Amino acid sequence: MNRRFQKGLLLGVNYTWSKALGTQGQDLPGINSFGAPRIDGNQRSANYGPQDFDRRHNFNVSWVYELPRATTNKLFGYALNEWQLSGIYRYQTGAPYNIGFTVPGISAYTLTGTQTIEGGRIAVVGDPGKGTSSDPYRQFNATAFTTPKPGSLGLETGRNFLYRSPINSWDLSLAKRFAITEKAKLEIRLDAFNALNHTQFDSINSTLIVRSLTDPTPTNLPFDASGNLVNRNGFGTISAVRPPRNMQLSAHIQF
Amino acid sequence: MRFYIIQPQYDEDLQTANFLPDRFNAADAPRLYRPGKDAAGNRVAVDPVTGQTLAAVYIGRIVPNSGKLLNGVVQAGAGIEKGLYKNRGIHIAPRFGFAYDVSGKQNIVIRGGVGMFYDRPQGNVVFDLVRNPPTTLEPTFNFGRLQDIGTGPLLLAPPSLVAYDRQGNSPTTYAFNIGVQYKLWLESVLDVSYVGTVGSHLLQRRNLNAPAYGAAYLAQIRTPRWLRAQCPGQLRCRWISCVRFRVSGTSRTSSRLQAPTITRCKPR
Repeated sequence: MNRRFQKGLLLGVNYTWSKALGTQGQDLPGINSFGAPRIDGNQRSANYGPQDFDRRHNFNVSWVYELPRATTNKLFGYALNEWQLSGIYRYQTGAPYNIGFTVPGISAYTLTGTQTIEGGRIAVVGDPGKGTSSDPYRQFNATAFTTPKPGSLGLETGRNFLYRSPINSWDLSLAKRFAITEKAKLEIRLDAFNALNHTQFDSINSTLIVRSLTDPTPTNLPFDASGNLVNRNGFGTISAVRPPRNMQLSAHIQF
Repeated sequence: MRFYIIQPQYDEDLQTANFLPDRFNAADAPRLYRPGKDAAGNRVAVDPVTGQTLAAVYIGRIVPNSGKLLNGVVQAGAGIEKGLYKNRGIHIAPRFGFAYDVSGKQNIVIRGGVGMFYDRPQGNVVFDLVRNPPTTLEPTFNFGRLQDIGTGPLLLAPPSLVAYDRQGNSPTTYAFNIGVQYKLWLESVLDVSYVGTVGSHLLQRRNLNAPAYGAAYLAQIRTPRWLRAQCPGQLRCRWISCVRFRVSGTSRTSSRLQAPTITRCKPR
Protein backbone atom coordinates (compact mmCIF):
# COMPACT_ATOMS: atom_id res chain seq x y z
CA MET A 1 0.00 0.00 0.00
CA ASN A 2 1.28 3.40 -0.89
CA ARG A 3 -0.44 6.41 0.62
CA ARG A 4 0.79 9.66 -0.72
CA PHE A 5 1.45 12.43 1.77
CA GLN A 6 -2.00 13.51 2.78
CA LYS A 7 -3.38 14.94 6.02
CA GLY A 8 0.05 14.68 7.56
CA LEU A 9 0.59 10.99 6.80
CA LEU A 10 2.67 9.20 4.20
CA LEU A 11 2.47 5.43 4.40
CA GLY A 12 3.87 2.55 2.39
CA VAL A 13 3.33 -1.16 3.03
CA ASN A 14 4.53 -4.00 0.84
CA TYR A 15 5.09 -7.72 1.06
CA THR A 16 7.00 -9.91 -1.37
CA TRP A 17 7.24 -13.68 -1.34
CA SER A 18 10.23 -14.72 -3.38
CA LYS A 19 12.17 -17.82 -4.22
CA ALA A 20 15.47 -17.94 -6.10
CA LEU A 21 16.83 -21.30 -7.18
CA GLY A 22 19.83 -22.25 -9.25
CA THR A 23 23.09 -24.11 -9.45
CA GLN A 24 25.28 -21.10 -8.75
CA GLY A 25 24.72 -17.83 -7.06
CA GLN A 26 27.43 -15.61 -8.47
CA ASP A 27 29.05 -14.66 -11.71
CA LEU A 28 32.07 -16.86 -12.45
CA PRO A 29 32.39 -18.72 -9.13
CA GLY A 30 35.69 -20.31 -8.15
CA ILE A 31 36.51 -23.89 -9.06
CA ASN A 32 37.26 -24.93 -5.49
CA SER A 33 34.45 -23.19 -3.64
CA PHE A 34 31.31 -24.75 -2.23
CA GLY A 35 28.90 -25.38 -5.09
CA ALA A 36 31.61 -25.22 -7.73
CA PRO A 37 30.66 -26.80 -11.05
CA ARG A 38 31.20 -30.53 -10.86
CA ILE A 39 33.08 -32.70 -13.30
CA ASP A 40 30.55 -35.52 -13.29
CA GLY A 41 26.86 -35.71 -14.13
CA ASN A 42 25.68 -34.73 -10.66
CA GLN A 43 25.83 -30.98 -11.09
CA ARG A 44 22.10 -30.46 -10.75
CA SER A 45 21.45 -32.92 -7.95
CA ALA A 46 24.35 -31.54 -5.94
CA ASN A 47 24.03 -27.83 -6.51
CA TYR A 48 20.49 -26.96 -7.52
CA GLY A 49 18.95 -25.25 -4.54
CA PRO A 50 18.24 -21.89 -2.92
CA GLN A 51 20.55 -19.16 -4.09
CA ASP A 52 22.74 -17.26 -1.66
CA PHE A 53 20.52 -14.24 -2.19
CA ASP A 54 17.25 -16.09 -1.70
CA ARG A 55 15.02 -14.20 0.77
CA ARG A 56 11.68 -15.93 1.11
CA HIS A 57 9.62 -13.30 2.94
CA ASN A 58 10.01 -9.56 2.71
CA PHE A 59 7.72 -7.19 4.58
CA ASN A 60 8.30 -3.46 4.81
CA VAL A 61 6.39 -0.58 6.32
CA SER A 62 7.51 3.02 6.00
CA TRP A 63 5.80 6.14 7.20
CA VAL A 64 6.16 9.84 7.78
CA TYR A 65 3.74 11.48 10.20
CA GLU A 66 3.61 15.17 10.90
CA LEU A 67 2.11 15.85 14.28
CA PRO A 68 -0.93 18.11 14.18
CA ARG A 69 -0.42 21.77 14.81
CA ALA A 70 -0.52 22.07 18.61
CA THR A 71 -1.10 25.77 19.01
CA THR A 72 -1.63 28.94 17.04
CA ASN A 73 0.38 30.96 19.51
CA LYS A 74 3.54 32.03 17.75
CA LEU A 75 5.78 31.80 20.80
CA PHE A 76 4.58 28.39 21.99
CA GLY A 77 4.24 27.20 18.42
CA TYR A 78 7.95 27.70 17.95
CA ALA A 79 8.42 24.82 20.38
CA LEU A 80 5.29 22.76 19.96
CA ASN A 81 4.52 22.85 16.22
CA GLU A 82 6.21 21.20 13.22
CA TRP A 83 7.29 17.94 14.80
CA GLN A 84 7.64 14.93 12.56
CA LEU A 85 7.85 11.19 13.31
CA SER A 86 8.99 8.78 10.67
CA GLY A 87 10.26 5.25 10.50
CA ILE A 88 10.83 2.03 8.65
CA TYR A 89 9.93 -1.44 9.83
CA ARG A 90 11.61 -4.30 8.01
CA TYR A 91 11.18 -8.05 8.25
CA GLN A 92 13.20 -10.24 5.92
CA THR A 93 13.98 -13.95 5.97
CA GLY A 94 17.64 -14.63 6.71
CA ALA A 95 20.17 -15.76 4.16
CA PRO A 96 20.53 -19.49 3.46
CA TYR A 97 23.76 -21.18 4.49
CA ASN A 98 25.67 -24.43 4.44
CA ILE A 99 27.31 -26.57 7.09
CA GLY A 100 31.03 -27.25 6.83
CA PHE A 101 33.33 -29.63 8.64
CA THR A 102 36.93 -30.09 9.67
CA VAL A 103 38.70 -33.39 10.10
CA PRO A 104 42.20 -32.70 11.50
CA GLY A 105 44.83 -33.44 8.87
CA ILE A 106 42.30 -34.41 6.22
CA SER A 107 41.03 -32.13 3.48
CA ALA A 108 37.58 -32.37 1.95
CA TYR A 109 39.33 -33.23 -1.33
CA THR A 110 41.13 -36.14 0.25
CA LEU A 111 37.79 -37.66 1.17
CA THR A 112 36.60 -37.54 -2.42
CA GLY A 113 39.91 -38.66 -3.85
CA THR A 114 40.14 -35.80 -6.27
CA GLN A 115 41.72 -32.36 -6.37
CA THR A 116 40.88 -28.72 -7.05
CA ILE A 117 37.15 -29.30 -7.12
CA GLU A 118 34.70 -29.35 -4.29
CA GLY A 119 35.15 -32.12 -1.75
CA GLY A 120 32.85 -34.12 0.47
CA ARG A 121 29.92 -32.50 2.20
CA ILE A 122 28.54 -32.74 5.68
CA ALA A 123 26.22 -35.70 6.25
CA VAL A 124 22.88 -35.40 8.03
CA VAL A 125 22.02 -38.11 10.56
CA GLY A 126 19.06 -36.44 12.28
CA ASP A 127 16.69 -33.50 12.06
CA PRO A 128 18.85 -30.37 11.95
CA GLY A 129 15.93 -27.96 12.30
CA LYS A 130 15.45 -24.83 10.24
CA GLY A 131 18.84 -23.33 10.95
CA THR A 132 17.72 -20.60 13.32
CA SER A 133 16.11 -20.23 16.72
CA SER A 134 15.82 -17.71 19.54
CA ASP A 135 18.53 -19.54 21.50
CA PRO A 136 21.94 -18.12 20.50
CA TYR A 137 23.60 -21.42 21.39
CA ARG A 138 21.22 -23.73 19.52
CA GLN A 139 20.66 -22.33 16.06
CA PHE A 140 20.25 -25.87 14.84
CA ASN A 141 20.50 -29.38 16.20
CA ALA A 142 24.27 -29.74 16.41
CA THR A 143 24.08 -33.49 16.91
CA ALA A 144 22.30 -34.03 13.60
CA PHE A 145 25.50 -33.93 11.54
CA THR A 146 28.55 -36.04 10.94
CA THR A 147 31.47 -35.92 8.55
CA PRO A 148 31.49 -37.65 5.16
CA LYS A 149 33.32 -40.91 4.72
CA PRO A 150 36.35 -41.55 2.49
CA GLY A 151 35.18 -42.18 -1.04
CA SER A 152 32.50 -39.51 -0.74
CA LEU A 153 31.08 -38.11 -3.97
CA GLY A 154 30.14 -34.85 -2.28
CA LEU A 155 26.44 -35.62 -2.48
CA GLU A 156 25.65 -36.03 1.21
CA THR A 157 23.67 -32.79 1.38
CA GLY A 158 22.41 -30.15 -0.99
CA ARG A 159 23.24 -26.49 -1.14
CA ASN A 160 21.86 -23.84 1.22
CA PHE A 161 19.47 -26.07 3.15
CA LEU A 162 19.41 -23.97 6.34
CA TYR A 163 18.42 -20.33 6.88
CA ARG A 164 19.86 -17.72 9.20
CA SER A 165 17.80 -15.58 11.55
CA PRO A 166 15.58 -13.01 9.91
CA ILE A 167 16.09 -9.28 9.98
CA ASN A 168 13.44 -7.78 12.25
CA SER A 169 14.27 -4.14 12.68
CA TRP A 170 12.78 -0.72 13.40
CA ASP A 171 14.38 2.52 12.29
CA LEU A 172 12.78 5.62 13.81
CA SER A 173 13.31 9.33 13.37
CA LEU A 174 12.15 12.41 15.20
CA ALA A 175 12.51 15.80 13.55
CA LYS A 176 11.67 19.38 14.52
CA ARG A 177 11.59 22.30 12.14
CA PHE A 178 12.23 25.90 13.13
CA ALA A 179 11.30 28.75 10.86
CA ILE A 180 14.24 31.10 10.27
CA THR A 181 12.73 33.27 7.60
CA GLU A 182 9.63 32.98 5.50
CA LYS A 183 11.37 30.49 3.18
CA ALA A 184 14.27 29.14 5.21
CA LYS A 185 13.87 26.50 7.88
CA LEU A 186 16.22 24.74 10.24
CA GLU A 187 15.55 21.07 10.81
CA ILE A 188 17.00 19.24 13.81
CA ARG A 189 16.74 15.52 13.31
CA LEU A 190 17.41 12.51 15.52
CA ASP A 191 17.64 9.16 13.72
CA ALA A 192 17.81 5.82 15.50
CA PHE A 193 18.66 2.73 13.47
CA ASN A 194 17.56 -0.50 15.13
CA ALA A 195 15.81 1.85 17.50
CA LEU A 196 14.57 -0.86 19.84
CA ASN A 197 18.11 -2.25 20.11
CA HIS A 198 16.69 -5.61 19.18
CA THR A 199 19.48 -8.19 18.97
CA GLN A 200 19.73 -9.34 15.39
CA PHE A 201 21.47 -12.70 15.03
CA ASP A 202 23.64 -12.91 11.94
CA SER A 203 26.55 -15.31 11.39
CA ILE A 204 26.63 -18.81 12.84
CA ASN A 205 29.49 -21.12 13.80
CA SER A 206 28.58 -23.66 11.16
CA THR A 207 31.72 -25.79 10.96
CA LEU A 208 31.67 -29.16 12.68
CA ILE A 209 35.04 -30.29 14.01
CA VAL A 210 35.56 -33.98 14.76
CA ARG A 211 38.31 -35.85 16.54
CA SER A 212 39.69 -37.79 13.57
CA LEU A 213 38.74 -39.57 10.40
CA THR A 214 38.24 -42.86 12.23
CA ASP A 215 36.63 -41.27 15.28
CA PRO A 216 34.06 -38.71 14.08
CA THR A 217 33.18 -37.61 17.61
CA PRO A 218 32.46 -33.86 17.54
CA THR A 219 34.91 -31.77 19.54
CA ASN A 220 33.21 -28.39 19.30
CA LEU A 221 29.68 -29.00 20.49
CA PRO A 222 28.40 -26.16 22.68
CA PHE A 223 26.82 -28.47 25.28
CA ASP A 224 28.16 -31.48 27.13
CA ALA A 225 26.27 -34.73 27.64
CA SER A 226 24.52 -33.26 30.69
CA GLY A 227 23.26 -30.28 28.76
CA ASN A 228 25.67 -27.77 30.29
CA LEU A 229 26.93 -24.96 28.09
CA VAL A 230 30.65 -25.61 27.81
CA ASN A 231 31.60 -23.85 24.58
CA ARG A 232 30.02 -20.49 23.77
CA ASN A 233 31.65 -20.54 20.34
CA GLY A 234 30.69 -24.10 19.59
CA PHE A 235 29.03 -25.63 16.58
CA GLY A 236 25.62 -24.09 16.00
CA THR A 237 26.14 -20.96 18.10
CA ILE A 238 25.86 -17.36 17.00
CA SER A 239 29.22 -15.87 16.01
CA ALA A 240 28.11 -12.35 15.09
CA VAL A 241 25.10 -10.10 15.36
CA ARG A 242 23.97 -7.22 13.23
CA PRO A 243 24.59 -3.66 14.44
CA PRO A 244 22.97 -2.56 17.70
CA ARG A 245 21.11 0.72 18.03
CA ASN A 246 22.90 3.52 16.18
CA MET A 247 21.81 7.10 16.64
CA GLN A 248 22.70 10.22 14.76
CA LEU A 249 21.80 13.84 15.38
CA SER A 250 21.82 16.16 12.41
CA ALA A 251 20.85 19.69 11.45
CA HIS A 252 19.65 20.74 8.01
CA ILE A 253 18.92 24.15 6.65
CA GLN A 254 16.19 24.11 4.03
CA PHE A 255 15.73 27.08 1.76
CA MET B 1 12.14 -6.10 -30.55
CA ARG B 2 15.72 -5.17 -29.79
CA PHE B 3 18.92 -6.19 -31.47
CA TYR B 4 22.25 -6.58 -29.70
CA ILE B 5 25.72 -6.84 -31.11
CA ILE B 6 28.02 -8.16 -28.41
CA GLN B 7 31.41 -8.06 -30.02
CA PRO B 8 34.03 -10.40 -28.52
CA GLN B 9 36.57 -8.57 -26.41
CA TYR B 10 40.13 -8.95 -27.60
CA ASP B 11 43.68 -7.82 -26.95
CA GLU B 12 44.82 -5.37 -29.61
CA ASP B 13 48.36 -6.82 -29.46
CA LEU B 14 47.08 -10.39 -29.87
CA GLN B 15 48.99 -11.61 -26.82
CA THR B 16 46.12 -13.73 -25.56
CA ALA B 17 45.77 -17.45 -26.19
CA ASN B 18 43.02 -19.97 -25.65
CA PHE B 19 42.99 -23.70 -25.04
CA LEU B 20 40.69 -25.63 -27.34
CA PRO B 21 40.01 -29.15 -26.09
CA ASP B 22 39.24 -30.43 -29.59
CA ARG B 23 42.73 -29.44 -30.75
CA PHE B 24 44.50 -31.21 -27.92
CA ASN B 25 46.14 -34.48 -28.98
CA ALA B 26 47.27 -36.71 -26.14
CA ALA B 27 49.85 -38.32 -28.43
CA ASP B 28 51.62 -34.98 -28.81
CA ALA B 29 51.76 -34.25 -25.09
CA PRO B 30 55.29 -33.65 -23.73
CA ARG B 31 56.78 -36.14 -21.31
CA LEU B 32 57.17 -35.32 -17.67
CA TYR B 33 60.01 -36.31 -15.39
CA ARG B 34 58.69 -38.97 -13.09
CA PRO B 35 59.81 -39.82 -9.57
CA GLY B 36 62.37 -42.60 -9.31
CA LYS B 37 65.55 -43.72 -7.59
CA ASP B 38 69.10 -43.73 -8.81
CA ALA B 39 71.62 -46.50 -8.28
CA ALA B 40 72.50 -45.11 -4.86
CA GLY B 41 68.86 -45.18 -3.77
CA ASN B 42 68.40 -41.43 -3.85
CA ARG B 43 65.14 -39.92 -5.00
CA VAL B 44 65.57 -38.41 -8.47
CA ALA B 45 63.60 -37.23 -11.49
CA VAL B 46 63.61 -39.75 -14.30
CA ASP B 47 62.83 -39.31 -17.99
CA PRO B 48 60.57 -42.35 -18.58
CA VAL B 49 61.85 -42.82 -22.16
CA THR B 50 65.59 -42.16 -22.03
CA GLY B 51 66.14 -42.93 -18.36
CA GLN B 52 67.96 -39.62 -17.89
CA THR B 53 67.99 -38.62 -14.26
CA LEU B 54 67.97 -35.17 -12.69
CA ALA B 55 67.65 -33.84 -9.17
CA ALA B 56 64.37 -34.64 -7.48
CA VAL B 57 63.28 -31.03 -7.67
CA TYR B 58 62.63 -31.55 -11.37
CA ILE B 59 60.02 -34.26 -10.83
CA GLY B 60 56.91 -33.21 -12.73
CA ARG B 61 58.78 -30.82 -15.05
CA ILE B 62 58.54 -31.11 -18.83
CA VAL B 63 61.28 -33.07 -20.62
CA PRO B 64 62.78 -30.63 -23.19
CA ASN B 65 61.82 -31.24 -26.83
CA SER B 66 59.63 -34.19 -25.89
CA GLY B 67 56.35 -33.03 -27.41
CA LYS B 68 54.34 -30.03 -28.47
CA LEU B 69 54.39 -27.38 -25.82
CA LEU B 70 51.41 -25.61 -27.33
CA ASN B 71 49.33 -28.73 -27.67
CA GLY B 72 45.77 -27.46 -27.98
CA VAL B 73 46.79 -23.85 -27.33
CA VAL B 74 46.05 -21.28 -30.01
CA GLN B 75 47.09 -17.67 -30.01
CA ALA B 76 44.69 -14.90 -30.94
CA GLY B 77 44.59 -14.30 -34.68
CA ALA B 78 46.57 -17.46 -35.47
CA GLY B 79 43.85 -19.51 -37.13
CA ILE B 80 41.26 -18.37 -34.64
CA GLU B 81 39.29 -15.23 -34.00
CA LYS B 82 41.11 -12.29 -32.42
CA GLY B 83 38.71 -12.52 -29.52
CA LEU B 84 39.36 -16.27 -29.14
CA TYR B 85 35.67 -17.03 -29.19
CA LYS B 86 33.02 -16.79 -31.84
CA ASN B 87 31.19 -13.61 -32.66
CA ARG B 88 27.56 -14.57 -32.26
CA GLY B 89 26.43 -11.80 -34.56
CA ILE B 90 23.14 -10.06 -34.01
CA HIS B 91 21.28 -11.16 -30.90
CA ILE B 92 17.53 -10.86 -31.23
CA ALA B 93 15.80 -9.82 -28.05
CA PRO B 94 12.01 -9.84 -28.36
CA ARG B 95 9.98 -8.17 -25.66
CA PHE B 96 6.25 -8.07 -25.24
CA GLY B 97 4.03 -6.31 -22.77
CA PHE B 98 0.35 -5.68 -22.43
CA ALA B 99 -2.33 -4.10 -20.27
CA TYR B 100 -5.95 -5.17 -20.50
CA ASP B 101 -8.90 -3.43 -18.90
CA VAL B 102 -11.15 -6.40 -18.13
CA SER B 103 -14.29 -4.56 -17.13
CA GLY B 104 -13.87 -1.59 -19.38
CA LYS B 105 -14.30 0.62 -16.31
CA GLN B 106 -10.72 0.40 -15.12
CA ASN B 107 -11.78 -1.62 -12.06
CA ILE B 108 -9.72 -4.68 -12.96
CA VAL B 109 -6.64 -4.40 -15.12
CA ILE B 110 -4.32 -7.23 -16.07
CA ARG B 111 -0.76 -6.34 -16.97
CA GLY B 112 2.00 -8.60 -18.11
CA GLY B 113 5.19 -8.85 -20.06
CA VAL B 114 7.99 -11.09 -21.17
CA GLY B 115 11.39 -10.30 -22.62
CA MET B 116 14.88 -11.50 -23.39
CA PHE B 117 17.98 -9.68 -22.18
CA TYR B 118 21.65 -10.33 -22.94
CA ASP B 119 24.68 -9.54 -20.83
CA ARG B 120 28.18 -8.84 -21.99
CA PRO B 121 30.54 -11.36 -20.31
CA GLN B 122 32.78 -9.78 -17.73
CA GLY B 123 36.25 -8.73 -18.86
CA ASN B 124 38.13 -11.23 -16.71
CA VAL B 125 37.28 -14.03 -19.11
CA VAL B 126 39.55 -12.35 -21.63
CA PHE B 127 42.02 -10.56 -19.36
CA ASP B 128 43.18 -13.85 -17.85
CA LEU B 129 43.92 -15.34 -21.27
CA VAL B 130 47.00 -13.14 -21.56
CA ARG B 131 48.87 -15.24 -19.03
CA ASN B 132 48.63 -18.38 -21.14
CA PRO B 133 51.60 -19.64 -23.18
CA PRO B 134 53.18 -18.77 -25.52
CA THR B 135 53.03 -15.17 -24.25
CA THR B 136 53.73 -16.19 -20.69
CA LEU B 137 56.04 -19.01 -19.65
CA GLU B 138 57.30 -19.44 -16.11
CA PRO B 139 60.44 -21.58 -15.94
CA THR B 140 61.97 -22.04 -12.50
CA PHE B 141 65.71 -21.76 -12.05
CA ASN B 142 67.07 -24.02 -9.31
CA PHE B 143 70.45 -24.40 -7.69
CA GLY B 144 72.08 -21.27 -9.12
CA ARG B 145 72.73 -17.57 -8.96
CA LEU B 146 71.45 -14.75 -11.12
CA GLN B 147 74.66 -14.63 -13.15
CA ASP B 148 74.33 -18.36 -13.83
CA ILE B 149 70.93 -18.16 -15.55
CA GLY B 150 71.19 -19.85 -18.89
CA THR B 151 73.96 -22.22 -17.90
CA GLY B 152 71.91 -24.83 -16.05
CA PRO B 153 68.64 -26.65 -16.60
CA LEU B 154 65.74 -24.27 -16.93
CA LEU B 155 62.79 -26.58 -17.13
CA LEU B 156 59.17 -25.70 -17.51
CA ALA B 157 56.48 -27.05 -15.27
CA PRO B 158 53.09 -27.93 -16.75
CA PRO B 159 51.36 -24.59 -17.24
CA SER B 160 48.13 -23.74 -15.54
CA LEU B 161 45.88 -22.64 -18.35
CA VAL B 162 42.85 -20.44 -18.39
CA ALA B 163 40.50 -21.12 -21.25
CA TYR B 164 37.20 -19.75 -22.47
CA ASP B 165 34.46 -21.63 -24.27
CA ARG B 166 34.91 -20.81 -27.95
CA GLN B 167 31.16 -20.99 -28.60
CA GLY B 168 30.86 -17.60 -26.92
CA ASN B 169 27.21 -17.80 -25.93
CA SER B 170 26.12 -14.62 -24.22
CA PRO B 171 24.62 -14.84 -20.74
CA THR B 172 20.91 -14.56 -21.29
CA THR B 173 18.05 -13.64 -19.00
CA TYR B 174 14.39 -14.26 -19.66
CA ALA B 175 12.18 -11.99 -17.58
CA PHE B 176 8.46 -12.25 -17.25
CA ASN B 177 5.68 -10.87 -15.09
CA ILE B 178 1.96 -10.87 -14.85
CA GLY B 179 -0.18 -8.96 -12.42
CA VAL B 180 -3.69 -7.93 -11.58
CA GLN B 181 -4.64 -4.53 -10.27
CA TYR B 182 -8.03 -4.40 -8.58
CA LYS B 183 -9.68 -1.17 -7.57
CA LEU B 184 -10.68 -1.12 -3.88
CA TRP B 185 -12.61 1.32 -1.79
CA LEU B 186 -11.18 4.68 -0.68
CA GLU B 187 -9.54 5.15 -4.05
CA SER B 188 -7.05 2.39 -3.34
CA VAL B 189 -5.74 -0.38 -5.55
CA LEU B 190 -4.74 -3.94 -4.73
CA ASP B 191 -1.83 -5.10 -6.86
CA VAL B 192 -0.86 -8.77 -6.98
CA SER B 193 1.99 -9.60 -9.33
CA TYR B 194 4.13 -12.58 -10.21
CA VAL B 195 7.60 -11.62 -11.35
CA GLY B 196 10.17 -14.12 -12.53
CA THR B 197 13.52 -14.44 -14.25
CA VAL B 198 15.34 -17.41 -15.75
CA GLY B 199 19.01 -17.20 -16.64
CA SER B 200 20.95 -19.34 -19.06
CA HIS B 201 24.50 -19.40 -20.45
CA LEU B 202 25.69 -17.85 -17.20
CA LEU B 203 29.44 -17.89 -16.69
CA GLN B 204 30.91 -20.67 -14.64
CA ARG B 205 34.39 -22.01 -14.07
CA ARG B 206 35.22 -25.68 -14.44
CA ASN B 207 38.46 -27.61 -14.14
CA LEU B 208 38.80 -29.65 -17.33
CA ASN B 209 41.75 -31.60 -16.03
CA ALA B 210 40.44 -32.56 -12.62
CA PRO B 211 40.76 -36.24 -11.78
CA ALA B 212 37.52 -38.11 -11.29
CA TYR B 213 36.01 -38.56 -7.88
CA GLY B 214 37.77 -41.41 -6.13
CA ALA B 215 40.84 -41.22 -8.37
CA ALA B 216 43.23 -40.90 -5.44
CA TYR B 217 42.00 -44.22 -4.10
CA LEU B 218 43.01 -46.10 -7.24
CA ALA B 219 46.15 -48.10 -6.64
CA GLN B 220 47.59 -47.48 -10.09
CA ILE B 221 47.92 -43.75 -9.61
CA ARG B 222 49.09 -43.71 -6.04
CA THR B 223 52.58 -42.45 -5.47
CA PRO B 224 54.72 -44.52 -3.09
CA ARG B 225 55.11 -42.72 0.21
CA TRP B 226 58.87 -42.24 -0.29
CA LEU B 227 58.21 -40.36 -3.56
CA ARG B 228 55.17 -38.39 -2.57
CA ALA B 229 56.80 -35.21 -1.32
CA GLN B 230 57.78 -33.78 -4.67
CA CYS B 231 54.72 -34.81 -6.62
CA PRO B 232 51.68 -34.11 -4.51
CA GLY B 233 48.89 -36.47 -5.29
CA GLN B 234 50.46 -37.53 -8.59
CA LEU B 235 47.60 -35.59 -10.08
CA ARG B 236 49.78 -32.69 -11.13
CA CYS B 237 51.88 -35.05 -13.19
CA ARG B 238 49.96 -34.43 -16.31
CA TRP B 239 50.97 -32.16 -19.08
CA ILE B 240 48.51 -29.53 -17.99
CA SER B 241 48.17 -29.04 -14.28
CA CYS B 242 44.89 -27.24 -14.34
CA VAL B 243 42.62 -25.82 -16.98
CA ARG B 244 40.20 -23.28 -15.64
CA PHE B 245 37.66 -23.54 -18.39
CA ARG B 246 35.00 -20.90 -18.51
CA VAL B 247 31.79 -21.89 -20.11
CA SER B 248 28.42 -20.29 -20.24
CA GLY B 249 26.11 -23.12 -19.42
CA THR B 250 24.48 -22.69 -16.04
CA SER B 251 20.97 -21.65 -15.28
CA ARG B 252 19.32 -19.69 -12.55
CA THR B 253 15.72 -19.01 -11.81
CA SER B 254 14.11 -16.48 -9.61
CA SER B 255 10.49 -15.84 -9.01
CA ARG B 256 8.60 -13.54 -6.75
CA LEU B 257 5.03 -13.14 -5.82
CA GLN B 258 4.41 -9.58 -4.82
CA ALA B 259 1.23 -9.32 -2.89
CA PRO B 260 -0.59 -7.48 -1.74
CA THR B 261 0.49 -4.10 -2.94
CA ILE B 262 -2.28 -1.61 -2.46
CA THR B 263 -1.82 1.73 -4.11
CA ARG B 264 -3.84 4.69 -3.00
CA CYS B 265 -4.08 6.84 -6.04
CA LYS B 266 -6.48 9.56 -5.04
CA PRO B 267 -5.00 12.86 -6.12
CA ARG B 268 -4.07 15.31 -3.44
